[in-house]
Amino acid sequence: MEFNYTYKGSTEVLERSNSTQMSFSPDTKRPPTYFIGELRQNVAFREAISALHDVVISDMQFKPKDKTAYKEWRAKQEDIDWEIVAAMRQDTADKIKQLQEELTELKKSSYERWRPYYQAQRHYFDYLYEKDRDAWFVLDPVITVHPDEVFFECFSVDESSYGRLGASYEVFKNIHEFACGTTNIDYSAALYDEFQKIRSYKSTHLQVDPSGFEVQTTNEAAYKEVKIDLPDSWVRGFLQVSSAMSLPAVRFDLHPMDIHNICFVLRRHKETKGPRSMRYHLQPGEPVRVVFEPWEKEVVCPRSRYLGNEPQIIRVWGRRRLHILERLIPVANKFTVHLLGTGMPSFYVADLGDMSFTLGLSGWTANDWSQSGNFDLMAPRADVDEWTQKIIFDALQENWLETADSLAQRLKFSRTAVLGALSAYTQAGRIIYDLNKQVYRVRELSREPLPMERLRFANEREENAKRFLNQNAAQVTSVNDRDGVLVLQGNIRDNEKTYNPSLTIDQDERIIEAECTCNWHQQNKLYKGPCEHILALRMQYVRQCR
Amino acid sequence: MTLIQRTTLHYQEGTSNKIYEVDLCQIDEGYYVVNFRYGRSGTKLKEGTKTTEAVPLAQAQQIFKKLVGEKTKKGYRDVTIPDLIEPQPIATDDPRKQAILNRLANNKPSQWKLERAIWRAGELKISEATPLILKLIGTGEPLRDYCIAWALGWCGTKEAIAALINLHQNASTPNFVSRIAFEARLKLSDAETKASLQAEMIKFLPPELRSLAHNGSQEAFATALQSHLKHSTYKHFAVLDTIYQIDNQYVRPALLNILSNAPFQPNYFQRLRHIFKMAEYRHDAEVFGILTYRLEKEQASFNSNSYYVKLPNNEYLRKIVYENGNRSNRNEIEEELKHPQSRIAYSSKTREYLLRRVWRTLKKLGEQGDPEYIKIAAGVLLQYSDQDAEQVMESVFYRWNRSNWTRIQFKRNWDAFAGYLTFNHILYENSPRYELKPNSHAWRCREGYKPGDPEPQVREEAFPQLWEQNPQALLQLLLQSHCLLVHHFAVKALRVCHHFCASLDTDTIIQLVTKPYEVTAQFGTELALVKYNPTQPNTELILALVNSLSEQGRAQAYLWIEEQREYFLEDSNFITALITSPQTETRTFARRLLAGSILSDRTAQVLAGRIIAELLTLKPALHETSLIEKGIRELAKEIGETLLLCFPLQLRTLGLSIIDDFLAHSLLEIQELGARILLNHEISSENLPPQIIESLLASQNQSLRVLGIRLFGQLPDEKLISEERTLMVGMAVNAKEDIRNAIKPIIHRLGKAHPTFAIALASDFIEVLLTPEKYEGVHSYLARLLREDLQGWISSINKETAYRLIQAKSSTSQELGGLILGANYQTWVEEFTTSEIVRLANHEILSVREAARQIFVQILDRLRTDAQEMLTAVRMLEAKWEDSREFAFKIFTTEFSSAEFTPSVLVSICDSVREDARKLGRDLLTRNFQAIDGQEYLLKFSEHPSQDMQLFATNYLEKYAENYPKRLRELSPYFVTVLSNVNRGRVAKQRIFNFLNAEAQKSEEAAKIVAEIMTRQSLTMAIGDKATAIQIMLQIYKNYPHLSLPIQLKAVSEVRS
Repeated sequence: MEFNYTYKGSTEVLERSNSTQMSFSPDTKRPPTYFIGELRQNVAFREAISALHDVVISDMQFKPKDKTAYKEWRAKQEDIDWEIVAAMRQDTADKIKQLQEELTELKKSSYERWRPYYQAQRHYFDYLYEKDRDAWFVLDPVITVHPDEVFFECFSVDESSYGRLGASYEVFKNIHEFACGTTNIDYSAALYDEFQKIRSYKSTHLQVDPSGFEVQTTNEAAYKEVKIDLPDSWVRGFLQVSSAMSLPAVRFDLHPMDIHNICFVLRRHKETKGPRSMRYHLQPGEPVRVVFEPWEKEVVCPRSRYLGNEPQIIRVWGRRRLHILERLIPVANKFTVHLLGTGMPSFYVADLGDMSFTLGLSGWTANDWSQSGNFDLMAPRADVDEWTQKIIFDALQENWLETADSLAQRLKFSRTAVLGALSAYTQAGRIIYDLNKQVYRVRELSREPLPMERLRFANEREENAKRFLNQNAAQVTSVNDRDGVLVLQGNIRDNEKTYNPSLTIDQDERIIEAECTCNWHQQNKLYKGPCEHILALRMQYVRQCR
Repeated sequence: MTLIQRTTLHYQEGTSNKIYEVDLCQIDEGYYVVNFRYGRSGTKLKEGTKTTEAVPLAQAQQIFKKLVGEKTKKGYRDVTIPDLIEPQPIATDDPRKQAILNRLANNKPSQWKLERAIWRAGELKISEATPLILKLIGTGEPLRDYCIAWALGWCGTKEAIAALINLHQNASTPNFVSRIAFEARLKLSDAETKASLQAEMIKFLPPELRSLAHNGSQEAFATALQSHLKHSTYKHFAVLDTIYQIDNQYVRPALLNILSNAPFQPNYFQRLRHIFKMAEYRHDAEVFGILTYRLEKEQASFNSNSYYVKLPNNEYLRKIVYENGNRSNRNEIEEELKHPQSRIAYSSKTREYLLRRVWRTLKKLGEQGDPEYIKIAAGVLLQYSDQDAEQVMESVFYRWNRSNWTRIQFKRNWDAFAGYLTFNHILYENSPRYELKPNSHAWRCREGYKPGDPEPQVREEAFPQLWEQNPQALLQLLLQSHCLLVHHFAVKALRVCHHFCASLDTDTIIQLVTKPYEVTAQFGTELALVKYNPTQPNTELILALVNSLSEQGRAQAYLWIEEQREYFLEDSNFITALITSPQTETRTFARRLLAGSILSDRTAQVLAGRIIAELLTLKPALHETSLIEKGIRELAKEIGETLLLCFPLQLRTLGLSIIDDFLAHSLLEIQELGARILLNHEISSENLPPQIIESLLASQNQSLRVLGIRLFGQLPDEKLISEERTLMVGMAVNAKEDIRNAIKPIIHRLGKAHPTFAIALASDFIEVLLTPEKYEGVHSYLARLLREDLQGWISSINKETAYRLIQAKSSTSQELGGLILGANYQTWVEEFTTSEIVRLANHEILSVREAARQIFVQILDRLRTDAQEMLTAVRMLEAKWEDSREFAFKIFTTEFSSAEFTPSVLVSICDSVREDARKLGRDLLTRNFQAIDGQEYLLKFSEHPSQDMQLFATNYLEKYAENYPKRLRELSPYFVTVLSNVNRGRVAKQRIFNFLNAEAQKSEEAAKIVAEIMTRQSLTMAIGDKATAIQIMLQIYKNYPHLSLPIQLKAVSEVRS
């Protein structure tokens, strides 16, 4: 999916000895949105925006080590070994050895001679990396100005973390006039460096202004066209996480030092094998306990009690993403945790006084098929006709933010209809649910509406799997739990034919093995992901467990 | 079992048509049987026997007689062929002839067909057979008459003519017999009769052709014939047969033309076939050769093995026809072929047959040692040329080797002429490298030979002795053939004929030497070496040699020329021919010869004139291949160079009209020559007609334009400077690199001589550099030009222009901007603000950074006096580029004193995001520390996000926060931040714990603050921190028990078991 932005100039920072002026350059093609203010809570803002930056650059996906050089060497070495083996006679071997030594010497001296060149090359590549680092950010952050607060949102490169920094107007002083709306801002690595220089003894102006400030250098192209080609999966991930926010969740508060302790455990230990989940043990009225697998290390949060009614054990994965919260520990008053369930997205809302920072984490760090079970996130939740949806959206747009209840009251619609419409817009990326203030807010993610039909499913197999579930064609026949490894078997009825898929899920809820009798699976195995029947079986099992 | 007697009985009545055969056979001595067989005539007969067991002869004969008698009574007739009385054979000595004569005399049924015997008699020209053959006329099918007519032509004597006339003119004789009878008649007649006979045939031509065939021109006849055939039905095509029968000098060229070009398709093909046979019969080498060549080249129009043939109108003819679902006996292809107006002809079998027949005819002749063989073979060979070469082919085959379960791969190769069967037969019948396998369609390379390998030494052709006996034919081949292989063959064969070679005259040798085949030229050279007499130099022979392909010949000719240099130098025609020789080597030799000899002015003048005239006659090849085109261009170029090299004086004074001719010539090389002559001409470029330079500059061709520019550069400076500046700038930014390079020296020269002009040019170029690059390389070219070739312009550039250059898109422009900046910095120092300099020091281009640093050194005083400027300047420490950073580090450590390092400057350095800058900041701070600023540092550094500064700040705690609860309150976020560091900052944490512990003891207010911090931090999991926090809280509790703390004191109860 392609996103096109037009920025007027770049985002610039003008630093003087006692003041810093940050001018974010917004997308000029979107409805004008502007905001100018001076920071009051400098340090806290600095820490929060740094945490947001951490989200932008966060990439926790497993990257295999680059072994090409070694393999090349190994192949060469193997040839040499074989030469020696082939040289049956000792004298030949000796000769070869001598020649090889000579060759090694020569290579060494050749390398010595080439070294300055290699170094220069290395430097050059480093320079290129530095120069184009902005290209490493996926999507520029989105900034939204609302009557009560300004908030920044972003989504990580690895499609798994979502960050939102909301700053109420208390954070600012000398606020000039502003216009509500959403826009993308030009973001660069240099900006992060400038954020680090925010101090309370320097005044910091924050400016989102389509006109920019007038230190434009001459001869520079006035407009910067940016084209970003985002994978569908990225957008789908973003929408899945943000639509998950409006779902009912288990909520509890954590003391900042509890987060410190969680990070502490993670900093001190490094897992080499699974399971790699974090287990929240929630007993009504008892302190929250967090257990880290596989060491079964327990963190007790004595000052944070669980206030829900039902005892719960919820497992979440991708726990190292919580390090993003580290910088917020000293400035946060508390953290509110929202858990949707095992393997589902989770949200950590840091209360920074007048600011709030929301960290949304998808179920897993890797957003691939082996763990996909979250298709329901994008399913329509209530059947509301388009006309009603439009009315509700327009009503929300009047006030920019409102709770579902007050909307229902105002428009005289049923609460379910309002919620259904709002969730539909949430899924389309046009509305966001603010976990901190528990209100719906208008936020258009992109200038053009997103193609929902294309985004809902990753491929047609997921769509078919969903169809099997709707037709009640999926049946789980046997569930076998061996040391935490789950083996499922079942049958799927598809047009008079019955397929017998089976799959194995490990302790990290990954599909590690799958079989199906259908043709597609016979041909592709798992190389292109599981077939629709395997997916349907897994989803059916998840449904039954609920 | 021996057949003793047989009686065949035949019965025919109505539809009944029966045979009854009775045999009397001997089984053994004295034992006989009688067998019979009967049935419908033409079908398989049923067998039976009258003797169940063998009987004596008498009884058997009785049974035999009785049976025959019975049948005869029933109406059977005895049709047993009586044994003919053998005519008395003619006796000869030759057993072969004798056998033929016997067969001709004897009309018994035999395996050896009578027709074959007749044919053979003709082939061997057995004149004794004539009376026997004559007797056979009309005894069999028309085909026998055909054979007889054919044979009579060869072996007949005068007495046969009457019979032939009868055969030819008899209306009942089929056409094909009549035709061959006519040919035989021609063969037997003397020249006069023959001519009159042929002339008689003219009356069978259509009326419009008749008179033309008598005495018209060849062309008129050809056109008339074409138009006659154009709209004719198949019947009219018979005119072709007649024309070949007439075959006089008016009609033959037209016929040959048709033979070479007519399609092998219906209407034509049948006639071509007739003519082929006639030509074969006449041993007409030319016609036979043409038709053989056509047969080899033309693929069959349809495949005989195919089940259907597609007609041009998309109709199909089927070999097997199904009617009502049953297979019928019809064969549409055969029906069509038999039809007089057949729409198909020339099947694959026809082609193969005719090709076989060609070689058979030749072979028969060769075997008889007939010199006609040579005539016809040469006729065939002359038809081929080098253009007939086909793709060399290689095929890979695999065979399974059962013994070791592997496959064997083997390759087969076919050379370029492999497909021409007869050609190969003639040339390679005895070759060790090619062979024709049975049933194959091409001559294959034998094992061990690949196309391109050297040819074997041995003679490869068929019937080598025959060739040797006819060396004239070989010579003819050499003189006329356009085929390399034929030349190879002929030279090889001719080398053996020493006598003949020795008798060749000089003209023939010259012809041989000039042949475009190296082997022939070499052969000719060898002959010439023997023939040449140095005392009487033969200019023609030497010219032929220097232009020949033979290297040896050329070398020898050069030697001969050198030997008699003066003699040859006088012959200006000869020298011109040398210079314009198509051989590069010869042209080089000519140049050497001229350079090494002194020519009188007069001779030189004449020579130059001749060469120029020669040059002007060169024309670009219009419809030739690019290779020839290239050759001509090269020739023109070299001749031009020779002219320039050897006749500079003559060219200097050459008339403008000739130069104009050169410039207007269609060959580019000659135009270039014209331009080059102008460059060194006595008339200076100023005085040349202005349109010459203009047309050169506007030329389509680059090299001409470059020459034009050089001419242009020869114009006087004043004119160039005053009028042509725009033109020069245009050339300098031209898209073509060579034009840019050509104008470079001119600009260099003018720039050096006229500084103001250089400045004007430079400003023009800078304007170009400021716009995006139009053609690749222009910017870097201009930058180089400005740097290397123009001087003195730099100081004329103002600061805005330099700044614009630095901000331009292309890096060359930026670099140039940096250079200008570096050169002019001293004058512009005051115009730059500090922040501008810092930004320039961060620029990507090295020269810009260098200039910025130079400027920076100049403004140190400004920094020393103004703290604000200093604050801006320290940002240089954070430069992206290592060189700028190093520079800044050096400057800031050496150039400034503590007076200039105010706290705000130091804090600003320490606030950097770069670790090395912070380190420097800390160093500078410790060196220039003033006690009164301590508090400020503590407060400011406490907000720093990085660990090292947080640790650094702890140094100031004891001194500047002690005993001051208010400060403690201010710093509490700092304490929380440091203590909240996850798994990091041990030292800082320890110091803060110690400090807080100490402070908490001092006052209640401080204790309260510390208690708050500890309440928060005591929740940590880190055991050490937790313990310390609890200890501190315990202390506070002891001192101020009323403060709220998350601890509960419990009495320790000692339990001992």
